[in-house]
Amino acid sequence: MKIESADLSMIPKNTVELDESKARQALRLVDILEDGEDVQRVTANFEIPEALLAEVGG
Amino acid sequence: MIAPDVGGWGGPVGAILGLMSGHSKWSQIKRQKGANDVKRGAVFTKMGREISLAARAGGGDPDGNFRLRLAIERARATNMPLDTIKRAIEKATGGGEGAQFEEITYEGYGPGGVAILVETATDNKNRTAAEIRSVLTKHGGQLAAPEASPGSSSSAASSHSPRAATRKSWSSLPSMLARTTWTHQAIRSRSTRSRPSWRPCADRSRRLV
Repeated sequence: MKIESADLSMIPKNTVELDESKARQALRLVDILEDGEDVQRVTANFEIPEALLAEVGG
Repeated sequence: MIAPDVGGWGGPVGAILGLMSGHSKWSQIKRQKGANDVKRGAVFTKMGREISLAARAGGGDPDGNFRLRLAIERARATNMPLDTIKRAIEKATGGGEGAQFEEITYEGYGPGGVAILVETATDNKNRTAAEIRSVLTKHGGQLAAPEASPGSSSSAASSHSPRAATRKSWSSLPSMLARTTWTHQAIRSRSTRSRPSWRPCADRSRRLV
């Protein structure tokens, strides 16, 4: 069996659901934060509809 | 008699020719390559910092330092050269002078009140804080609280220990964010307020040194 990835990460215990426009904004914000020179990792507790995530990711 | 003239103009003519080749394939490749190199460089910088921090916290041996092993694996997945990885470890464990990176976690809010944790490794807290604050405010968010900003933790400037830095920022959790409790998948600590939940892990890796 091959391990694909192992990680220690923060997972939120409660989440916030976002509608489409807020979700887009949030994803953009996280992207831009991640592009920051000193930033190692960005974690957020939003819940995004699968459909939108597939659309943005694809 | 013409020859010396041409010779004399060799440089400028060459430069002009260089400009004129703006549509050549190579210049397109060059431009693209430049952008990719910048991106690759940025990724390697991030990976390198994580490797350095891991090596300093738990020693330079990946077999006894889980965090370092993860960092190396992730770096290898991005095709970071082994040499560069080795240098990052040596720099961190060699005790030599160099940029001292500090781990700081910033807390903020995004659109719709989403809680955001930004983990950073920085050699200049003021710059990083300003950067993150400005990104957050420009995109419908805000940095959590003044006491969570580096101003309060600057008293810990002498400490390069990521544990100390993180504990500081956790203990200054603003009340609203404290209501959003975070936990580590691996540890499941309930007490997020008084101590960082990954502390047991950090202690463990220190024992292994």
